[in-house]
Amino acid sequence: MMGTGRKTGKTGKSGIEERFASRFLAKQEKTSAKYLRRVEELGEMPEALAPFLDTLRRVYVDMALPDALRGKTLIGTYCVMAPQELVYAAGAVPVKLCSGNYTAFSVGDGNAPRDACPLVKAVEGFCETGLMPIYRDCALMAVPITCDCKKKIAGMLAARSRVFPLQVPAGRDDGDITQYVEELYRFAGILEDVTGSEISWETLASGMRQVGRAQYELSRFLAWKKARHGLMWGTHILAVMHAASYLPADVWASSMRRLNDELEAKGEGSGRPASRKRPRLMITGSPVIFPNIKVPLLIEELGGILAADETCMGERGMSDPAVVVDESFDGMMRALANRAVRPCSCPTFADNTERIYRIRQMVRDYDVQGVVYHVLRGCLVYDFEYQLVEEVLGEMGIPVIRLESDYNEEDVEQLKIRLEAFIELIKFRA
Amino acid sequence: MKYYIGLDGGSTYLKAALIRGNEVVETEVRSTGIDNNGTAQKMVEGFCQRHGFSARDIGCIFATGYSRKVLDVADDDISEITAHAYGVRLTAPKGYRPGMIIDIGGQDSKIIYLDRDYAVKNFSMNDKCAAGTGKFMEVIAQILETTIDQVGPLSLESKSPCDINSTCVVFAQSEVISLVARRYDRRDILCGMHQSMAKRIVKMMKKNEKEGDILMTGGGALNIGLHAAFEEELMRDVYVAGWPQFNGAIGAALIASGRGDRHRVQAGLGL
Amino acid sequence: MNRNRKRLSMVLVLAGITLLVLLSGRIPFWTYDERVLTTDIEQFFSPEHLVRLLPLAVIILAAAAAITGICWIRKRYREQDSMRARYEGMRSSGRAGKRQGRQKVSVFSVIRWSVMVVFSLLIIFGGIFFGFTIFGIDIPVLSCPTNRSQLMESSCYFLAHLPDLFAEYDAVSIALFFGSTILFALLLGRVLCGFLCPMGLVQDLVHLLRQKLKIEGFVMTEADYRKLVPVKWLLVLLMPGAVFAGGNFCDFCPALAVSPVISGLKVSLYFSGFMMILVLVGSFFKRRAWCNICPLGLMIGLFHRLSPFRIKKEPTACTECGACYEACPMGIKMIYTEREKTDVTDWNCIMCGECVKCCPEDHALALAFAGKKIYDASRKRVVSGYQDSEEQADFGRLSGAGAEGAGGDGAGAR
Repeated sequence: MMGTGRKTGKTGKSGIEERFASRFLAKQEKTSAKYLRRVEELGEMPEALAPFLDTLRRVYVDMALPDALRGKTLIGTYCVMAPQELVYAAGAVPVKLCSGNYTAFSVGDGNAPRDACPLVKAVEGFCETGLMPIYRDCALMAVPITCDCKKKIAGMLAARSRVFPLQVPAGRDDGDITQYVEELYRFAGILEDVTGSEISWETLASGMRQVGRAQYELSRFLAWKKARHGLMWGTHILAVMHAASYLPADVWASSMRRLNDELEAKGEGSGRPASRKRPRLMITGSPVIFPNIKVPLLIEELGGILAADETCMGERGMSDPAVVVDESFDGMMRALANRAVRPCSCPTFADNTERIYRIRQMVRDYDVQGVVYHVLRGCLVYDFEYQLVEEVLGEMGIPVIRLESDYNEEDVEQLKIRLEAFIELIKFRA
Repeated sequence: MKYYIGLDGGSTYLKAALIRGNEVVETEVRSTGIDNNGTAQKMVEGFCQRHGFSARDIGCIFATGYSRKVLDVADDDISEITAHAYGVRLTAPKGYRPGMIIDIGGQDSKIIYLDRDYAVKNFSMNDKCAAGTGKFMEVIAQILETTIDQVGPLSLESKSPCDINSTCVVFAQSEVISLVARRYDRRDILCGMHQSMAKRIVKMMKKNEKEGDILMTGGGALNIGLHAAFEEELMRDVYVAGWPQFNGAIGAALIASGRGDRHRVQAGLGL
Repeated sequence: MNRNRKRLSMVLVLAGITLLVLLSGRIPFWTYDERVLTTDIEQFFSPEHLVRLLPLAVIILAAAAAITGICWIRKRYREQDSMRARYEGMRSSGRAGKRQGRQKVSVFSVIRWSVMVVFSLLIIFGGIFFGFTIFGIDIPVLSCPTNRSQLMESSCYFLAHLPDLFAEYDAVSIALFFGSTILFALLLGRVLCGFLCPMGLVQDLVHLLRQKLKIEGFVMTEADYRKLVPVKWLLVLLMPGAVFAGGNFCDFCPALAVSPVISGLKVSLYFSGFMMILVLVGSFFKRRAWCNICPLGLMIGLFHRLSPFRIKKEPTACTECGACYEACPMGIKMIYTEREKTDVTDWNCIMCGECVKCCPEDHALALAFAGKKIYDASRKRVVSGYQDSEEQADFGRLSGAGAEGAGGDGAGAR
């Protein structure tokens, strides 16, 4: 595999750098390929899942841009709070760059303080090496300032590419929305400068339509997921959602549509991974991003099923639609700001009790029996909320386990012991 | 009535328990060695010989502990947490109201929270670090030129315990060495060690789990000094399980008996 | 200091409004010497009659001029801000065409608009087209001056002229007046505002016009709404009270320029005419602006506590996305912040159903009548506009039994 027909960057690189690059790439490919294999090995894969896995394979194993992104202006976004609709309105395509990569993490580890979160370290690693096309080719990086680590990474990334930090308010009151609307206007201006094309009422409406298509298909999927428990492996759904990071919304939507159609045709029974006996777990907390999907994979490999995903790279990241109540340009901008801030259950907000309600609702909707609280080391904001979540779930009689982890595989055995016991705990309760 | 066997393949020792009905017939412990399965097999055979029954009389064998996946003798396996929670049903002293179990194992320590019916409510584990585990005691005992079973009684004689503040077993080791060099009494050092271990484990506890009594299991529970340190740190009564070291194995056996009869193919037992 | 200044200015504003209401009869907009009512359909389209609509035309023109002016000033003002000026063109260039992806029209809004149009026509023209009575009841049920002949129907007029009521009628009629008014208020509550009121229809129409023109509106925040509260209560006091201080609230009330004028009553308009211009301009930029201070609406609202029409909420299904709050013409914030109660009916609520329409979470909000949900929130409806034309009904089949009723628009009772 190593070094075959792969671009290693500019010519004239020194030997050391070349060797580093090829080692980095080989290691990166190996881990990513391994996780993709494990995803496939879960079995009971709908045929329509293939395009999503192919996208991940293309980005992480082939280290190339998916076809649908070729020739497009790419805008890197780091959070669901940067509205994709605006990026489409500017004639560009947004890609989500939050990273879960172990190899990049180990590179970035050296440049960030020890207690910085691994996500930010991995992003730093990719940007520093410049070996990942999707990072290299971004015309602009939009970094919503959702925590201290994001704030500092915005500064660090600015050395290598154009960065627009979006000031995220700390609350969700009327004034905060007004402030975020202003921020989005500023973002729109920067986007126009970068892409050279004008954002107008029409382009914004079509951007909303494009994202809306994806949301329509996702809503269809979620409606069925709620109605028929154990429709698909949770890890497979994760792969679907993660592929959305690297595909234009319309391309993703049509793949999603095929998946929905296939699931519909299959109907009840056949090919559903979940018998009722598998403990139904929900994951919440810090983002789980491919290839750092060890926790969801372990859950399903150890006999549970990931019935619900409350992390922001999962369904939550796309499921809230922007509801336009005013047909003017400003009305659409307000709808975007409103959608980005109000329903967002990100702990960046000072008062985030709505997350508790969301978790409660999800427990009910997906008949969840246990909750895995994923904490990335250094991800303080999510860790802060653990206590409250534990308390509330305790009142509901739902056991919770807090799993602290990092972007490496050294702790897999320990995670396994905990998860195994946790899954048994649920089995014995039932 | 059939016999049921629980095997607990820990990091240091392999423990086996034989139960019949709701009674513990025999327990046995051996060093794990490198051939886990072979050792386990020998232990099962030993049980058969000593009590005069054949493999057919064994209802079911369950394994638990780190090496449970490699113990082919067993019919099935169960995680330590569940096994320990089950074991308490047999090993807890009279009058114990199910609440919290502190398990001090060879290389990890865990706290398990039980509800009124002995079902696991939650648990926390220290599985990354040897501080606060049996291994830690062993290392310190070695430095102080005593044996693990003397550690407890010795520490109770202490009058002014030392402070041991290092978190890590390696650092604590050097801290103890320096204390020895400064001619501190080893009884005081041991007492300080127990207090530091108790503090470490109490920190793992969830503040909102206060119901029921506290029970100590695992090899560490044999150490009366550690037991005293826990009572002092928690300011509450701490019960000690019967057969603390075998709590996991007994639990596994109990789960095996709940699983009922499994038609046993002569799993290489040669009987 | 600052707080005192705010208080002082509020007192000044309130005093100004009081003065205006009391003196409104001396500020003529369009006066006639005599009152004439056309009751003949044939006469209705005669030039002599149509000329009576002239004040209305003046009002509309003045409002249009004011709206254009405001847009122009706003544009000039924004030009100083380079970041926003860039989008100014888009903000108020009346672009044609519908936005793709708008949600499909629900049965509920068809019903609401039909009821509103039919009732407005009945209230305004009922007297003319059906003669004065039908089944012995005067037809313009809620309109003010066209039906002084019978009591029970014109609560609005007599609320503003209580001395007339007590002087001219016997106890039974008076009891009938209060009884019927309270009965309607109890039964329908502010459904009257959302479904029946012609002023409501007029305001909704100008709002619709702005939507078509894609002109940016005025966004009111919670603080702005709060400022309206004293004004609201002052008007509630003034509506029945003005007459005791020698005023006539009808000369202030903008509704006077709606039903009497449109129905062809030759009636003098005093400050009402100017108020109507304000209402048109206001509700163009801010939906249902008048409803936010309408004293009659507020009085009805006080009785809404007992109305069988309720807004129901499933607190955990809500994601606090605030779409309902953004959509609410009355600025009711509680509807999205409430996390415990299942009944979120506010006494300001006019039951227009906009919140339910915009709610993207299945069953999170619903309009209920006597405990039965008649209009339920549904994700499917909110995203319905994004559906490809060829995939009709896909959603429904997929979601199957689990999401049944999610698509229940209006009629889809659960």
